[in-house]
Amino acid sequence: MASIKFYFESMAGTHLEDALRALRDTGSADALYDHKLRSMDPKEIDWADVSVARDIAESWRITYSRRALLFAAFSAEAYANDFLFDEWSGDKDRKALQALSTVDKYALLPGFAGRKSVLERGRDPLQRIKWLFDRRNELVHAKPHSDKDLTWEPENHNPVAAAESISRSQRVPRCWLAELRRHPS
Amino acid sequence: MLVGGAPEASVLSFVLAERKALLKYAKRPLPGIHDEPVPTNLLSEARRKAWS
Repeated sequence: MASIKFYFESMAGTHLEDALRALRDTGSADALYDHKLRSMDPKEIDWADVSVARDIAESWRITYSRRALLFAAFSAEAYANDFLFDEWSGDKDRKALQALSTVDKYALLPGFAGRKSVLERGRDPLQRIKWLFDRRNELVHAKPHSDKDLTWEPENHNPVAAAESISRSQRVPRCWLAELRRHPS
Repeated sequence: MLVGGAPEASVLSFVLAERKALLKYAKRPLPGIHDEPVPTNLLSEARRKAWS
């Protein structure tokens, strides 16, 4: 008799939706500008107010990008743990494997599970996931930096970096899941 | 037919279609104060096209 394997999505999907919502906010006027200013007639707004509003909007854009990166990282970690819990049932094994970094989980778990691993550390999507976790770690374990200001870092905290990170964060797990469905154990 | 290097209708082809939609959105310039809000689901259009 054929067995049916169900996959119950955990926090991974919720974090991914949060990341997507934050990315949406990086480019939507209702999230970037003050509501009172938006409700005013354009002719009633002074150019100086517009200039300040655009500066504030740029700041929000960086904030939402940073938020999108963090939730993309949370999602990537949750997807890796979903795979781990799906493949290993013993508490000790799970605990040992959970100690791996998320990047290592992506690189090593498919091989440990006896599946073909197509991820190379030096290439995308793993390279982008490594980059994402470097950003995640410097934000989660924040400390004073002499060479950078994490409150204003558009070089890394920008919509394009967020979009790339979100797409990589969902690419690997979804391909894994497709593989699990093709070859259920 | 290949979609960005992925076989048509494969999971990877859907993911690549979504990536393209996200990047297109991310590269847009800062909107104006009175611009219309963006739909809350950024991927609905890409998913509709990819999965139909």
